Amino acid sequence: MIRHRALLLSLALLLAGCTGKPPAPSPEPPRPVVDRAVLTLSAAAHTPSGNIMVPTDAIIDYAGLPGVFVLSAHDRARFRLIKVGKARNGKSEILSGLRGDETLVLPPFDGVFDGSPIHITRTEGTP
Amino acid sequence: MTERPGANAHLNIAGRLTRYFIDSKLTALILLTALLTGLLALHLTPRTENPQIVVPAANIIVAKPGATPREVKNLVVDPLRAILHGMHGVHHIYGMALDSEGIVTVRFDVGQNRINSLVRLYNKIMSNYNRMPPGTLRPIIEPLDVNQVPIVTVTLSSSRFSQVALRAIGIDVLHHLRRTPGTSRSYVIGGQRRRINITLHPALMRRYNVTLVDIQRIVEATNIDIPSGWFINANHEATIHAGGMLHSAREIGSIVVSLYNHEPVYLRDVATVTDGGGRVKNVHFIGFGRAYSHLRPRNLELPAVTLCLAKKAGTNAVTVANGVLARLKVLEGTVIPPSVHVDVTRDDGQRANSAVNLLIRHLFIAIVTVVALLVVFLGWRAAAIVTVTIPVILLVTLAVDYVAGQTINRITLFALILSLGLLVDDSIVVVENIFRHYATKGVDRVRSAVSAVNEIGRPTNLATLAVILAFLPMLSVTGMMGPYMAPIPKNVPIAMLTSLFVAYTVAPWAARLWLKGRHGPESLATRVLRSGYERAMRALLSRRILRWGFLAVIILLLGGAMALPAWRIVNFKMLPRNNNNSFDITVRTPAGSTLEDTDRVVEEIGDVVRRNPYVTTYQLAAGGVGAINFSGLLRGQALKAGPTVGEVQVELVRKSERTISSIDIVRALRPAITEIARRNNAMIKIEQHPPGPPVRATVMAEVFGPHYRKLEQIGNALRYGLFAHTPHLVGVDSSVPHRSWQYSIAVDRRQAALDGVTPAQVAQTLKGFLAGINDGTVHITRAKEPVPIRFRFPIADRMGPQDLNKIFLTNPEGKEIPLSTIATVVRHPAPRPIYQKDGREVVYVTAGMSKGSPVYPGIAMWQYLKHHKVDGVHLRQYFMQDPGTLHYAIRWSGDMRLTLNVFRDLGSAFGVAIILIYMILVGYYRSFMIPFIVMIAIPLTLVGVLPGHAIMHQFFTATSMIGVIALAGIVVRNSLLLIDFILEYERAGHSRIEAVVQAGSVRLRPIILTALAIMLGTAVMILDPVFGGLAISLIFGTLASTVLTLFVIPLGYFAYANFTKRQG
Repeated sequence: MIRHRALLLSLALLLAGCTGKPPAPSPEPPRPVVDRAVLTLSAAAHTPSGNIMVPTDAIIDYAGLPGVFVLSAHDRARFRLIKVGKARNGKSEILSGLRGDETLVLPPFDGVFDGSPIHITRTEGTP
Repeated sequence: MTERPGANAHLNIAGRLTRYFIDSKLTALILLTALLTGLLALHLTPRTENPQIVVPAANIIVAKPGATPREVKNLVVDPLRAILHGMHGVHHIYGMALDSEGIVTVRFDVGQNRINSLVRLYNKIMSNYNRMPPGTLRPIIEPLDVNQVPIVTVTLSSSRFSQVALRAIGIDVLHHLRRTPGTSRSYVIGGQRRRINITLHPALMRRYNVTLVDIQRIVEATNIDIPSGWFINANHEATIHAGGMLHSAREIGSIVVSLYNHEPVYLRDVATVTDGGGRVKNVHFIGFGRAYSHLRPRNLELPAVTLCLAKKAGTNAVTVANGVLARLKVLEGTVIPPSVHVDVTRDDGQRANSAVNLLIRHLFIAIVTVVALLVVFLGWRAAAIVTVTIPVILLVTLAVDYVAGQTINRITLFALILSLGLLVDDSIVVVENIFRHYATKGVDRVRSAVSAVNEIGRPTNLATLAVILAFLPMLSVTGMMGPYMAPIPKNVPIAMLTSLFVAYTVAPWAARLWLKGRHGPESLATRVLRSGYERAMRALLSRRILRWGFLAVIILLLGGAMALPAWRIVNFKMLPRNNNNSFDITVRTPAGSTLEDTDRVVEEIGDVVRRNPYVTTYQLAAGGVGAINFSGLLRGQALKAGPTVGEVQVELVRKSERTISSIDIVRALRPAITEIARRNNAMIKIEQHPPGPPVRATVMAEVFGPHYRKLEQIGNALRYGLFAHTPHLVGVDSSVPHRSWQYSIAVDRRQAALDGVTPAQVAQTLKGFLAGINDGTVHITRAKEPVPIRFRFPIADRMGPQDLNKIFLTNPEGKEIPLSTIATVVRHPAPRPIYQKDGREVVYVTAGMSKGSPVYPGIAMWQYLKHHKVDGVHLRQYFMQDPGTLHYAIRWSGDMRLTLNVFRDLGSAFGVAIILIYMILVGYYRSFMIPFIVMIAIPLTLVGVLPGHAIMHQFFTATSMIGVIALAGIVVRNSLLLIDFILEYERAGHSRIEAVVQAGSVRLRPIILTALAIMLGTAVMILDPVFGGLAISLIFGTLASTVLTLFVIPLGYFAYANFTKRQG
């Protein structure tokens, strides 16, 4: 019967009109691999009071927040918020934010973004 | 039946209405007006996602510096409670005694007038404030209000602008957005306030012999500017300002603070003066997930500020939100610099609108389905007449809502979908009967239509009344569930009354114009069905053994259905979770953690969330919480702050555009997040927006008893023992904090007196040394927030107790006293907060659910506690009443209690509905027995309802229960008409067997038609996570009840009639 078919068709059209499609996700922005030296922190980096010393120039100011770039498990630079204490002889004491087993990305920091892949050129141990 | 329907005296109300309207010009006008008003109402009525629940509440925050929690409890919380005691309309009073501060939360009853309650609260406290002990500061009364919850949040983020600059941009933008009509409270989260930091160097201060107190005094004396009078000269008046207001960091640095060797010592000589953010106390980031569809920044996460805007009560969230977003568009590129990323992270207007639009579309599908059914059963013309009535009835209902000040929300629309299956009934019955009259008599179209309506008027009125009576008792549901579900008992009766009116006016009017009185040939299917029914009925009526067998089968079916919940094949739950567009993850790191620790945990969660393909954006907050939502408000989220607090708010792709439910997304994320919690020893909870009213926790035990210390021990024992080992409970937490340490500086009073220093001076100096002191503000004309001047010591110098020897105090003789000579540092456990509920000390143990219903773990724990001791104490357990405080007791609360309350309320509503229906049936039949037979149909619905839930693997929820109540009204109609026809046929002189068979056979078609209308009309709801239960109840209940009543009711009547005959 034609009228039944027409009804079914209109129903099907209605149902089809109900499901939307999400907007396509935008692509990842270019984050070129950068060649940087890294510094692996170890127990030797601790001060007697239990804090960690890092090179002062490894500390960045990310829109007013003090932090360092920590190398993630997939060799990416990730921003880590820290609290900086005393600075002496090019080294700064970190009061909070680092556990002492991290690997820090060393400067220069232009071209390094939160999430940039890092190609390690040199690994420094804790001095 | 009257021969002269012109005479009013012989007509009932239905007939009279029809006679007036059937050929009146007014009918068309009424039709048009109803349609237009309804469309206008649909456009104008404020839209919300859920009904607005008014729960007036307020936090009263009273500071008493230096008091321990126990003191605060005795001197602040208890007197406050005494003041508030006996206040009308107060539901609960929660107290929290902290160190130096008491917070009392007053929760009024649901539905109390908000303004009235708050004014009374304020008045009560202020007029009794003399009863508070001396030393307590002025209370801050902070209303907790749905209208404070932001409906739009906009997140601005940038890697280039500093925290201070970004916040300034945010404040500026907010200033513009605030001009949108309908907005109310608005604020900015994140960024840093601008301030002037004076970082003092103790070594230099000692060298130049200046103290903090000196510097403070001088800055204070400098930073002043007052109108000092006016000059009048040469007929001209000019005002004079005098003073030396400070305008910039440079000016402050140039203040002379002392003289040293006859040379001025500038502030910049002993301190570094900077204009900037100061110490970071909270951070706020935005991250971009895999589904993010705008231009991505190069950084994975960006520092952000979030602008929050709430709306005024009674305004339409959709228009307010659209207005705000339109303004935002204009600001981009001008007020908002191009390098700042703009993301709309919450848009409740859009959410409400799409929820409402989706349901309007569902309603439309339901209408089309029902119309298709009518076309198949009644043919084009009759179907067209009934179809015309549907939009009229629905739109009139919406118009009534608009006039009554209700909003259009999901529940309203569910109510309309629910009533759709019912409201066509009246018109169907009327049109069918007119059709029958036209086919048989068909001389005077007006007259036969009127007599046709007159004929079925009484049973139709009664059936409609029965449905209305089934719904009305639901209005008495208490608690937050009452206003949440209220649109159902409000809208269905309105729709039913309108449908009745329309069926008596518009339907006959349209029938007179369009209906043709020609019978089409009966379709094959109906004929087979009818002959099959007649044969089965005759067999049952003629053989007693078959009748007994049938009865046994029915009893077996009922018993089997009832056994399903007992065997836990069908489980109970208040409301299932809903599919949402966002959820929150709250974080609490162990006591003593720093902001940086918390931020690291929050970022780890961000890493997990970012990898999910359905996440668009997520906002991280550490040191505070993000934009609050309604459930967070009731959970007390607004009070949370401090370095151990964090939150991640996750936004997903809109639900209409994804195939997977947010429930499954959360389930997929949970293992990774649990792992983060375990690794960092943090408390992480995933908070999904509740489908109905929010509760503080899904599973919550309130432990009461005489000694607080013991309560804490019991709380911990429950938390780490019973709760931790009960399956499906996640995020087990308690109000007992972890042990943490604090230092206190004990001043040796004797030594201090000898040195000429007062303890107050010690405290003041220490505060400057450790926390920093705000002293006045700088006058920067263009700043939109006050810019305070803050004195502090460099962070490197305040690491631990050993650094206290660097502080010196100056006594009146000008001698420097090192702090270490007059004070010692003592480490001791930090005092723990004391919680109170309605004046009794309480410890809360809470948990969430990974899946399933909280009812069953609740029962399991209740069983366990009945037979086992906790921490050497046997706990008495309570569900409904409040326990006393002389023994240790537990009161089960949270979602489970709400479930119990709701089922209790709905159960009693059901009972009342049944009594009411019975009463009107007694009135109608003038018999006590026949109503019983009619109402047999009600329990028969269970034969369908419970197995239906088992088949669909759904919980039996509060909405299922609403379905059962609705069914009571619906199925009575079928049996009513059956009995009516049997009695009619008997009166017409047919034999009893013949009357019973014929009545069933004649009513078969309309009964199946109306049943199918209900089933198909509600079918669109079946996939809805919340209202699926209602649809299952209606579809399966109607199916079972219809099939069974067609046999059971006639047989029941037959047995009753035979029994009364035998009795004589």
